[in-house]
Amino acid sequence: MKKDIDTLKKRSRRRRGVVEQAGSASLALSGLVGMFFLVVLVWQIAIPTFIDGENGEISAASEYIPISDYVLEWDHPNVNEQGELKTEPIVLILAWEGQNGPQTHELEIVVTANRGDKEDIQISEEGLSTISVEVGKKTKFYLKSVLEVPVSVEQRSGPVPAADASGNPQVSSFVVSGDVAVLFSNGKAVFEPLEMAGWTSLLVLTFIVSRPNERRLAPFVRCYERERQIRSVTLLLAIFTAVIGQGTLSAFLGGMCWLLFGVALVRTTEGMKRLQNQGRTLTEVKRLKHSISDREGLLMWSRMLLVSACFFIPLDIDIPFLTERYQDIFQPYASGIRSAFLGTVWVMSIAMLFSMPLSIGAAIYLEEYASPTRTTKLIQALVTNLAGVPSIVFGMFGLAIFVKQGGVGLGLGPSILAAGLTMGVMAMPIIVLASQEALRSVPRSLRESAYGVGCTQWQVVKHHVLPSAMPGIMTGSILAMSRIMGEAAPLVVVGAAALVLFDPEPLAALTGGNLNFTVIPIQIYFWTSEPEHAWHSMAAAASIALILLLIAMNSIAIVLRQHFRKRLNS
Amino acid sequence: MENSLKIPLPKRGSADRVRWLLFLTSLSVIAITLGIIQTLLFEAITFFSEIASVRGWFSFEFNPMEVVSQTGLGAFMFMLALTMEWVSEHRRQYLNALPEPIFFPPPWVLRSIYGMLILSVVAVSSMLLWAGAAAVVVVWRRTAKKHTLRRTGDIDQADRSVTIALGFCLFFSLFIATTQHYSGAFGEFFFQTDWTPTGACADRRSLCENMSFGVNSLLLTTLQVAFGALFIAVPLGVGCAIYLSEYASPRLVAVVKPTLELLAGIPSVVYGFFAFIYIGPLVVELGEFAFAKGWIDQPPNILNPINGAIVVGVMILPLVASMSEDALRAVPNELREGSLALGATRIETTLRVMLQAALSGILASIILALSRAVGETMAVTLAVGTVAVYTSNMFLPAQTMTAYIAQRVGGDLPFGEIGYLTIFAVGLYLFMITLSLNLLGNKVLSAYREAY
Amino acid sequence: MSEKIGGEYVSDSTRALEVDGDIDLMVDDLDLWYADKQALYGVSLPIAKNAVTALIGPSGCGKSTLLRTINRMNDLIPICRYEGTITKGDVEITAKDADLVEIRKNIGMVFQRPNPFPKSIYENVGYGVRLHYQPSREELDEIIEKSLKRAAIWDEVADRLHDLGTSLSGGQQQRLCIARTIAIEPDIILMDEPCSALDPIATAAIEELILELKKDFTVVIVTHSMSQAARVSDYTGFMYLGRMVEFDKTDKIFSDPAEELTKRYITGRFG
Repeated sequence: MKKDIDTLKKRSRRRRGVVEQAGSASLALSGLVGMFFLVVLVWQIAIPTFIDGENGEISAASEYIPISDYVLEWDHPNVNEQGELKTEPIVLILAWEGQNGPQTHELEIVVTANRGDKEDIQISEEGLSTISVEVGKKTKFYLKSVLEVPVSVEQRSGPVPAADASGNPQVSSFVVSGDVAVLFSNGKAVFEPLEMAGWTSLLVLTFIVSRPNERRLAPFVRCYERERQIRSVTLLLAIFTAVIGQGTLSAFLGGMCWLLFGVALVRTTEGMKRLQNQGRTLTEVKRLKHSISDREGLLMWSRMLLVSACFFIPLDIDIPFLTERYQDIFQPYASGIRSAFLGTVWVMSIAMLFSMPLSIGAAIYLEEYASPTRTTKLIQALVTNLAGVPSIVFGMFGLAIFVKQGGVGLGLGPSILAAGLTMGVMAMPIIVLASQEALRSVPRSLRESAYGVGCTQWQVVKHHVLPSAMPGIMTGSILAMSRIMGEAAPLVVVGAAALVLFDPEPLAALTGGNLNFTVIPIQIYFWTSEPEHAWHSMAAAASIALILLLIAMNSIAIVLRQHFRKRLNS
Repeated sequence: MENSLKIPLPKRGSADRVRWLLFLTSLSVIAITLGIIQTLLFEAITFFSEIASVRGWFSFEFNPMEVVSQTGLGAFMFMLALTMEWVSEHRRQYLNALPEPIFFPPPWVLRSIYGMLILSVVAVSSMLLWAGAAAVVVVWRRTAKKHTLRRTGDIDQADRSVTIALGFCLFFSLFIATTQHYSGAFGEFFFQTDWTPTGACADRRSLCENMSFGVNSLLLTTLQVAFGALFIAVPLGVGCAIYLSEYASPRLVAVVKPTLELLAGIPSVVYGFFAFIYIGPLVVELGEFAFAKGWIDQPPNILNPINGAIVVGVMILPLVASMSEDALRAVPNELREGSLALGATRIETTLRVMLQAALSGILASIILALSRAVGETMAVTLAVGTVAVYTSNMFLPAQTMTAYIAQRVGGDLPFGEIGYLTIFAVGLYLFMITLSLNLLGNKVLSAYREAY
Repeated sequence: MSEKIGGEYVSDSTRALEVDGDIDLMVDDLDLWYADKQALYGVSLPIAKNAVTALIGPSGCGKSTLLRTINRMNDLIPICRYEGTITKGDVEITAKDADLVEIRKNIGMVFQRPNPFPKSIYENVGYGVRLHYQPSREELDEIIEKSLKRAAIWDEVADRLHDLGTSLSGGQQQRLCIARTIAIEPDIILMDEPCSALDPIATAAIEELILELKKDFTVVIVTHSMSQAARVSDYTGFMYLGRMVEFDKTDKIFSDPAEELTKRYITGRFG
């Protein structure tokens, strides 16, 4: 049928097809480019940027600082097919162009069954400091060269477990290394028996509770009338463990395992008893599970405790970069972020301690109590705008109010206390906004039913609204914490130090101790600004540590959110 | 009343106490904001007073002949815009006489005008001229909209706010056009371009001759970095948002969204490290190429604002992408279906209908991202440099406002000294800029949310 | 052969369906699934040219689904799949390689809730035209005026063509959407409960409009209001639980339906 509109010129379909494809392609492209940049960024950072130097050759010392650290490491002990130690010594030839002509020296390495001492061998114009060194089955030692010419390393004889195809020993300058021992190392147990017992008991109990059936629960029938005894015994064990371990982190975690074990055991038996009193058998797994688990997030807490304690009790993880070493001005590769790490922990703790009560209180007030007067609107607008203020302005606020003495200043000096308070102030708007969201998402019917039973406003809030909103509040707080953990700008203004060689003292502002402190992002900042290339590698290492820390915190927030969401929906 | 259940009843009055306690905690928010403003204000005022005690507050040279210049032309444009606006508000009947095409030209005319306006940002050397031209275009479209309303007879209240804003702009541009050689505390700070607060002085504590405080060099670098970042983040971010919300399969979305969140979570020092180590050399190569071609007159340096712009752009990319995606998602599905039912393809629907519908939401996200880019410190300190210069060659090291503050506090800062005070003046300026951007962005965003 | 639907036996729903005059579109034995759930069972339906066909039935019986399949709008839902054919003239709409743009150009749709674009009235109506053709300014003005007149809304908006389409009232917006649809002169107009979001006065205006439109277009209207179907349509199809129970001229359906199920629905016993 002829239409009037057919008199119009038709838009070329082919051209339109091309334009459409081009448009679609460019959209896809920009989307992909965005994603690509992201992938490259993450990948680049993730590449071990702190491996430097080439295999088999110690480069000229002027490339680094005068003392270069090279590590020779054996992954597996020198054992033959029968499992016996090969005791044939390993001989290395070290050669360089000396001032008086080419020099060649031999270094003999004797492998023994002992752990071996860490011994450093100095290479200088006079030769080697020792020509024979004893090493254990798994050990590393340093070749330190003060020469300014490259030194080549070659193996003449002896078994070399970790060698490349042409028989040259693997020489790496990878000094940010770590040891991971699982349960046993060198025939010696790595764990403390009490802690291990506590951890294992909790593990077994968690497993049974998460997958209960009659057979597994049978042994617990014996505990039916012994709740009080169980409680006191586990409490004693917990205290005992902590004391025996002299209050180290693993001892503390072991004690927590015992405590949680006791609580869980008591709850389990109570649940079983209740079920049997109702006349049901233990074969009704679903009811059983509902009755004994997932009540106050018991399973979730025990799982989290097990995972975190796993790193300290059965495993022995030794990463000196994180836990032992401070900044070493002369040996960048031997530096560590211990002081920065502890500084971060302290600053975050103080910040959270300070900001959380205030922020949650403000959020509760704004959502539950405030009537829409002008003051309320003003406060709300202020909170929303504070969230967008640049971080450095918070630093200046902290500088004037907490650090300096004079005017309105409190005069705490550039200390951890001032830094913690400043970061707390920075976190407040974020937590307030997140808590408000969480409180808003509580359904009105919950409040109304509570009022209907006759609760006062505070009772409604405390017993009904808050528990329901708590997961959102917790998640928001953890996310706020992870956001401010990565902020360096305010602390630069508050006065974090560039060089901190000791453990920071959190209350130094009050006790008059050493005020110096630093946090990981600041450490990265200062290391990046150093002219030496070696420090950039260390900055990269610290960046990776920081990102991993942030990922861990975000994962905790996600786990919390998932658990509480499941609980609310079930 | 008999309490036969013997259950303890809550005390009356405790509820009020709780309420007061919570009110006090929320007052802490007001306290913080007031504290920030007070801190910045007081120190900044001290700063300006100290300078004013030596150099006076504000003085300039009045030279009416200078009106014949680009800035003067800009002032003329503001006057034109103001006249149009006033006529359309108060003397609408005069608009009847004008033929229709003046207000509603064919689409190609409209599009070319918009295009010329956007492209000329880089061409004109006087920003006031460009702002004047933009104001004329904006008022023209507003008048066109009002032109149709008058026919149905509903003329609403005369809207004074735009008239007042235009009046201010006119006054400001006239002032700039006819005056020069500003000096004095305010004059120097806001109009000069030489920032050397640590000039060679006998006595560092107090003001001396060799110090100069023209903040515009810092401001220019900040704007260069921020708008450069927008240049990267907006196309990529909006493209990502469009792609994610319209075309991507749910599996792809499930992979990309967490990656975007990861990118957003990376601390800015790490970006700064990144810029310093990886991106700097790349930009230097680009700069060498430009230098060889003679486009720039000095060889590039590894620290430069382009470096900073790239890295800050990647930093605000997730913000733009996620907010734009929310904006696109808020558009009701019916609009999409309506367009598709008329025979449009997906891409045509996206470009012609969805983008226009989500425009103010996307605009809000751009404004908020700009505010974030302006306030960024650590990445730009490491990437851009620590020497305050006023140059349009973006391959040379420069210093942003935030980087100046970060650099200055690294040194010795006794309370009350002039160096200490400068950081608060710069900080106040920065705070004002980000505050206005945030207010504007939040206002646009809430208007958008209300509409949908 | 008969099958039992809803407790009643109905005859084979694929028996010969007849209409007076030409058939514009033919639905042949269409089955449709949403993931595993079947929504349409062997639906067959002729659509008569220049007439109004109404689809009635209780909610959830598949009327909207059928309508949306006709112009392939169901392709937007990934879990939807179908078997069967819909043919319009010599074009098979359900073919996998069918040109969706051409299909939708010739089969327009008006939705339940008015959905004008956030553009001016002028731009709204001209959207489809500009999409497929390259009209000059005068041609476009002419087409827009014609469409708005046909949609019986010209008098109300003639002097404010540059106002936003969303600033109109509900009934006016729906008429604007109809104008937008007829601007590109489709052969068939599908209407999915076009009056359900409108007040009675606006509804009456739209019904009047439909009676006008059928002179130039073919209209298929889905409605939950039987009285509307009786007023407006020439042919009616009654659907229940995804099956076309009965299809016939409207007078016949409403006075003397062949199926017991239809009679029960029309007399209000269920639905």
